[in-house]
Amino acid sequence: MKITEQGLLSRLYQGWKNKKLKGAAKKLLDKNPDLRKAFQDINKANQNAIDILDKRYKEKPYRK
Amino acid sequence: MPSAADQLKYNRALKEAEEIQKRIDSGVNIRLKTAEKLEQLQLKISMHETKISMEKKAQYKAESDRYSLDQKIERISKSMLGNMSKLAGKGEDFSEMLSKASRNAKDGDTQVAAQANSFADMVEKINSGEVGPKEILDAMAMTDFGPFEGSLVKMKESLEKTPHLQAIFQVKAKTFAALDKAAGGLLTTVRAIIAATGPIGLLMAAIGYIAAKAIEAVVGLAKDTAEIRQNLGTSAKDSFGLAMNMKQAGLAAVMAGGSMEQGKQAVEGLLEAFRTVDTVTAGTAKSTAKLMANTGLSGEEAGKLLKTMSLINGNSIETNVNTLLAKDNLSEAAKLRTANVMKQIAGDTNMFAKAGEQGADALFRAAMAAEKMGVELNKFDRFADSLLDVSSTMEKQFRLKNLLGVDMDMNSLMQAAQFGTLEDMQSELGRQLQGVDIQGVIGQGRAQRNQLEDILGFPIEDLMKIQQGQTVSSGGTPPVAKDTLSAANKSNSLSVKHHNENMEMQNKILAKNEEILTATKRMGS
Repeated sequence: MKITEQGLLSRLYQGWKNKKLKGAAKKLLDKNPDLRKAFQDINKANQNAIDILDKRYKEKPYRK
Repeated sequence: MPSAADQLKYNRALKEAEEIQKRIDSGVNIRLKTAEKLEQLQLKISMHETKISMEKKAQYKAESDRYSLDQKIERISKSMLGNMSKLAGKGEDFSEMLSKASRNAKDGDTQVAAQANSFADMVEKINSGEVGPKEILDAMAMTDFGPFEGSLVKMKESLEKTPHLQAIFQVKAKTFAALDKAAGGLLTTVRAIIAATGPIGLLMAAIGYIAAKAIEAVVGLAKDTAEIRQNLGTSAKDSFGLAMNMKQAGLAAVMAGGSMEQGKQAVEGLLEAFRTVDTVTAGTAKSTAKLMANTGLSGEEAGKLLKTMSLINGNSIETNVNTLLAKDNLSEAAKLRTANVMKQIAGDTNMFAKAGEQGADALFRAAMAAEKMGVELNKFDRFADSLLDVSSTMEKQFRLKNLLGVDMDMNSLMQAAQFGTLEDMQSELGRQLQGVDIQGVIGQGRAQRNQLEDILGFPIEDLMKIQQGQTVSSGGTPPVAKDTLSAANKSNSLSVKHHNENMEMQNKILAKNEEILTATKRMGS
């Protein structure tokens, strides 16, 4: 893979941006336990959606 | 006349012609049937072609949906919302769930691709702060989110529980969009410089850029200094110092989710309230800007509130900001609009001054309760003041009982107003109104309703809110009794005087009651 100055800068910027966003997200959750609980509830609903998708796939495998 | 032989020939020829005609007719029929069959076959072919074409289109659409979904998953996984979902733990994060949907879509589930795309669109909109609980409900009414609806409902609930969350998403999205734009422009410039001059050219350009930015900052500071000098009437040296503090305060406000403008307002608010330039240091300006960004107070309100607090408790501005931020967190924990609670107090700093250091905590709790009820705090303060005129209060009790049939212990309210905090008075009023049939008074007619408003000094709507409302006091010792004891030691003579006045008024009321009873008996006889 060719490394270019532009690619390097872009990756550096994306890395910095992700770090900042992750830091801000962590700070928000640590500061507010209720918010963390709310997001855990969202994640549980996400898990539930995955279970529904799995069930749907088992009942009707689309291409098989 | 034809001969018999000719006649026979003619008959034979006629028969042959008939047979030929029959064969022709049969041939025509066969061709017609074949043509019909051909037509039917062509129709079938055409239908199949249309079906194949539609299936191809649906397949392209599904591919496009899946491609679009994969791009959204990538963006969501690197977003604030995506990170919060990943860090919160338990269950699965958005990216994991949507990746599962993408795999199912690849296996031909076209329905899930559309549903997952709609859901991912909403997640991106929530992340950018574009939509709140109402917009989520609107979308749920119009769009089929299939298995993802549960997650959307939970997101709506989270936004409802944390009202400032949408604003945080909005600020973060705007900040990073601006940074993305700047970074994109920078990268394009870098590419062009490298193509034209190589890495050395890039180094030279970077030095030039930094120099230009430094000059820009100096020019900006000089402009701000001139503006401050003109607007606030400070010396050139002080104006420069204030301009520097404004910049630092602005950055502190931005870091707390506010704006650069709040830095300027913080400096102006502090200067206006404290009147001396020395008070406005980088530290106090930054703390005040942070307070404004967190609570939603204006520079003027924050300045006035901090000045009053420093007069009451003698603490530094930074310490008082921390105290206010702690109160702000309490309001947030009580699920109240924190800016409104702060504004209730900042709106009347004299009320705050009157509460004193001892009563500050109670006043904050009263402000929280007032916000919960939806009744302005200074109305309770005015009501408390109105109760201190003993004869007028006793007259109010008389009017309530005899004109409206409302039984309220105004003496107890007066005691709370005199010796207790505003919170005590608020609790006592709420308690007293529990036993009042407000609807019954309303039912008596307009005159009686107006009388009730006039006697208690609150509109009917507020009285109903207070009756329904809850204070945030944690209970325990009845506040009036507790504060009466401590206050009575301090102002014994005042208490005795009021007691005597009470007794006198109660005797008058009893005498008037007697008169009414006698008059009623006379009417009956």
